[in-house]
Amino acid sequence: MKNALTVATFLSVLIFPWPLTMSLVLLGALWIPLLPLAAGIMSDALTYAPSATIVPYGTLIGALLSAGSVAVRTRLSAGIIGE
Amino acid sequence: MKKTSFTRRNALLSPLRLSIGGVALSVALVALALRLVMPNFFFTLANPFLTVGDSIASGTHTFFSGWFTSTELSHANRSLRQENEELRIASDALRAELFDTRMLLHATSSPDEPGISAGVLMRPPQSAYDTFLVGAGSSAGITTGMEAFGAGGVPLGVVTAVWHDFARVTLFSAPRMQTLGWVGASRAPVSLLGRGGGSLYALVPRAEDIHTGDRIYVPGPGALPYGVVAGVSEDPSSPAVTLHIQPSVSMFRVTRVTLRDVGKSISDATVFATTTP
Repeated sequence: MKNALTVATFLSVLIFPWPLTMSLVLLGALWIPLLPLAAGIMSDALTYAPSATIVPYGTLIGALLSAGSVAVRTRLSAGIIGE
Repeated sequence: MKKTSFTRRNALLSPLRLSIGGVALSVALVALALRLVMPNFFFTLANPFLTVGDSIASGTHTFFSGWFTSTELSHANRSLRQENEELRIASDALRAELFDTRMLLHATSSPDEPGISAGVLMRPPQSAYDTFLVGAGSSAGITTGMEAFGAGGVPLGVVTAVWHDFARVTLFSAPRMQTLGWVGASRAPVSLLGRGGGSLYALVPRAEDIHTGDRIYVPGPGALPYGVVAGVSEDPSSPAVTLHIQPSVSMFRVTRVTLRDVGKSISDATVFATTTP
């Protein structure tokens, strides 16, 4: 499940529009906290243009989501989400 | 007393157990390093996936278009054909007029000059930024500062990075782009500011009397029609009005662009577009 979700997210970064990627990332973040950051870095590796914006939004949003995911996982019971 | 001893653990020789998140992050970091060190190789690897993505985007658009009933489509088709014919006639008339004007001015540059045609590999919304990744680079003769044109010769943006087989076009609508253009029949000078998502805005003095539907022009060979004023926001306390600009070509549907060197006119008119790769 986790592996499939990770592969699907990476493929989505390459293939699908970013809103779909974002949906997969949000879903995946429940189980894989590092997935949003990884997807964000991958997205910026593909599309980031310094001429368009200084801020690498993909990495930034990914890092925030990862931090949020870690925060949520540490506060909720492992019986609800997690292993 | 017997001393308790523990076996020493060698961190370097211990089997490495990485979580799936760690693996994903490692892959992303390797991709980023590859992108920074060998961008052309990176995009060559990504190219097959991007091509598949392009096909999927087109298929999705066709699928959703099919939701309309056949009667509506037939009606739309008929009206579009008629509109197309009217536009063709108007275009021919303007072309002839332009030719006569250029003959009078002895101009050497023409919007009809052939450029370098390139397929768009990545566009919004695949790309979160208002940029195109095109499948032609320095090997095809593309250089930084060339202007990109869509169907009908509508200017779209400027080439801001070039690799061996790929190039990046930053659209006029990109958030950091500021382009000096003109608005309305009087060609009032205006600074067009990108706001992302394919839209732009501009601030003009109230005295210019600009209305919704007025045309926007950007530099190319001369002033080229880029889009229209989709709306005008007025603040009674301000001497300026805000123009909301809609480009003529939807960047979400551009599949090919023509890249052409238009001289210094576009680089002089474009601000904040850097050449950083």
